[in-house]
Amino acid sequence: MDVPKISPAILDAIHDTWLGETIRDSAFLFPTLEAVHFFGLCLLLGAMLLVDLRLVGFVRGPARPMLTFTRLAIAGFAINLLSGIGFFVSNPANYAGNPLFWIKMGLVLLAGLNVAWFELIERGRILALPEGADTPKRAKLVGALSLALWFSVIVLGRFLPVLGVG
Amino acid sequence: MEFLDWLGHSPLGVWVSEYQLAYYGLLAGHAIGMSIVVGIVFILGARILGFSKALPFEVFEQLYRLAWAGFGLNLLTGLLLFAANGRHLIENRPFLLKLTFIALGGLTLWALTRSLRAEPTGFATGGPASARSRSIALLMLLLWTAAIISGRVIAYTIKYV
Repeated sequence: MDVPKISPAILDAIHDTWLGETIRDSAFLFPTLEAVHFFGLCLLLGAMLLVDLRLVGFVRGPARPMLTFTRLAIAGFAINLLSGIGFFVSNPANYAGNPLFWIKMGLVLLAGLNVAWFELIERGRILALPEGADTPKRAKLVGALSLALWFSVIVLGRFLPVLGVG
Repeated sequence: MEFLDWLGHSPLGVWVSEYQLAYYGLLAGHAIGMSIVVGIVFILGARILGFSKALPFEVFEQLYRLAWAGFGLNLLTGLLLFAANGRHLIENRPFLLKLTFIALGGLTLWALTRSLRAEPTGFATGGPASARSRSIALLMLLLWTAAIISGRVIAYTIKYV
């Protein structure tokens, strides 16, 4: 499988940063970042689960306080973006050369665009619905797509070591 | 111990440890189950500790079956992963700690559910939780976080056959 070409000079520069060196030189930092990444994953997925299942119609309840949980999802995402950057800078050539990593990043991007679509277009429409009303078809699609994308991101993350390390 | 040795060398144990797709597939399934169980625990805990106070606790009742499904998935994937390397896992302290944290985490989830059902207000209409519910929720969040951490530590301390 082809991967995007990133110049070795750039990867080396990232590799040689203070952060990359610090994470590599410590026996504890990488495992700690992994635990943090799993914590963020649970926060992100738990919050998205509530929001998406509400969109799909599997869970019922007042829209406004349920959709507020996207804030927790964003917090979880921020935790995982930061811990993920930690993994990458500690061994950039490994991740940049791993096709599964790029597929994972592509899916994260799609999931992010899906959240943006939800925030900009669907949220307002759903909050305008009368109490107890069924969500429109398009909102159901956004919710289902979100769940499928985030679960795929998890699967790809766990499969990364098959074509690389970590 | 002899049984775990036998299990590790049985066709099932060998399938999990030698067949890459099975091994990583089980790990991925285990991560998905974790995200469902601990994800629901996290949002419930967040709500009880004061996030999105207008949300009635009753909404979470609709998620318990899903949480059980996630737990079932992790019991199944966990048992299969255990079959491959039970001999070393049973002697691995982080693994034993993880099981303890999960048991205690489950116990606090049960206690929290009971405590919430006994709340005079807020169950159907939204509102703050009692001090007792908040204390249980905090303990529950700590225990499940500890379960995640000890699970990660297994990967760095376990021996393979």
